[in-house]
Amino acid sequence: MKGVAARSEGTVRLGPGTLYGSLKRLLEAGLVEEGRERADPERGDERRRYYRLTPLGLSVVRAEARRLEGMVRAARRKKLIGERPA
Amino acid sequence: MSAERIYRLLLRAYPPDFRAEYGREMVLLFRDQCRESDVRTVRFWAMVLSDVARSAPALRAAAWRAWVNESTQTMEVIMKLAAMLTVLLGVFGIVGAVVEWVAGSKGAIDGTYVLAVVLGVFANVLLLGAGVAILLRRPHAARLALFASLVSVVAARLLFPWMSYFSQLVGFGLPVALLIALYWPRRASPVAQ
Repeated sequence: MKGVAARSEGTVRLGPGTLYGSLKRLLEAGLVEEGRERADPERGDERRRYYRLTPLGLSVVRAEARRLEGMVRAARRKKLIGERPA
Repeated sequence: MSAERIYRLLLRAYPPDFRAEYGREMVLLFRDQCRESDVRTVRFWAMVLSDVARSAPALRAAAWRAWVNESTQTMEVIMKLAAMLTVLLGVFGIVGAVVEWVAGSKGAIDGTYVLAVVLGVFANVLLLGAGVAILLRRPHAARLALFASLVSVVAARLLFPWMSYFSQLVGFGLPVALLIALYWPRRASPVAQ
């Protein structure tokens, strides 16, 4: 949750319900899977589970990134946004 | 009441299966949030409530859709078995009516008796047809045949009050049960298109 908030510069804030709801859907779609690694017990979070992208999930996220890149390029060509992010 | 206790109560908004799978981890994450934020502020609880309000209904709806899908599949298997039973009972009914006709023809028979037997045969032919229609996934034809069969059985029963209990049970019970099953609302059923 903190990672999402940091990467989106605070614009996206996930709560536990939204996060695990999305994870459930991603797991069902085969886009993520549960990782085998366990957390560090010294950090007190040994009960947590870890998830990682599957090869299919990686392909989907790359395709989505390319699609968004194309859209941004088109928006730049149309001068809807500047050359560099504001 | 502690913040975690309130959150555990809020978790009841989620489907039971989802709670069983992710509830513990959600509470762990909530603990993290509690450590990093001031739980006494309205903003904190507004965020928590908005998260539950955004995610729980969608998950409940997904669980409901999965349940409907599952029950539709079960219903389809039951309908197939019922259709096969209907075909068998239809054949049995036709043979029974013919046997009765042969037995009755040895004595004195009147027009009412003949009409009752003809209606009985007709009702069983329609029942057989309904069973075949269900198996062929023709729900409209099946409904029509079942209604007609029911009307024929009622007419035969009025003309021939000595109809056996078994014939009455099959003649009335089976079409009614199948009609209820065919009109039962369910999603994406190939039987009830």
